[in-house]
Amino acid sequence: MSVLGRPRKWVTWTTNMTIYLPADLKEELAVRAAARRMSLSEYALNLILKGLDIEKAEEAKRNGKTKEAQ
Amino acid sequence: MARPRKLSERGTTVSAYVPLSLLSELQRLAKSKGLTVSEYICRLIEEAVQKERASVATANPPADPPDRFRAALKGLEPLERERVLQFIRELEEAEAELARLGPEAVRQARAMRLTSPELMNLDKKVRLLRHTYEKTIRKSVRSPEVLDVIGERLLRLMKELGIPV
Repeated sequence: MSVLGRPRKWVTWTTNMTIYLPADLKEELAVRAAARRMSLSEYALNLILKGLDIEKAEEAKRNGKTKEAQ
Repeated sequence: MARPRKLSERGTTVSAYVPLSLLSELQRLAKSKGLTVSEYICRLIEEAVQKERASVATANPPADPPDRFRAALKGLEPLERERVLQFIRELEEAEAELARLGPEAVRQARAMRLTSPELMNLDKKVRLLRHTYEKTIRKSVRSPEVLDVIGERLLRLMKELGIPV
């Protein structure tokens, strides 16, 4: 933690990522983020992690099915 | 000749501050699927938003509020709770009015730029609800569960009526 500034949001190495989205979706995200008292960046990151979980779960399901078929 | 647009509709960028390890994982997964990182992340966000929409739709508050929502309501200060309940009553009235007019009729009327007094009243009512939500509810209510549920319902209503968010 720096002496003067706010504490770091992440203790690990971090980077800025720019996400290109349809404008309608961004507006919707902004409202949803505000409803949860989060910044757009935090909310977008949450969604990415959630999306990754969904994708991994689906992949695991698919793999399970193909193994069963074999 | 310039490359074609990536999105057919209007696009915009959002900056997110993420751990480097996550970015590397996303890059790896996107590559394995033959997509660009941007396309892959957009897909992940859309999937997550769809899932959230679906979970809110199945929760169907507050006619039959789920336990979490009910518990969150109980945890509010009396004045806050009264404010939220009043807001929900007004939200329900607007939803009932929309159901009576029929969302399809509303969409058609909007597309053809027809405005009936009923539609104008409903539009005015929902805009007022949005104002109350932004200026009062969101500032005074501290429970994220309550804000989530009523915020989503208001958002749905605004979308049906074509009110910009």
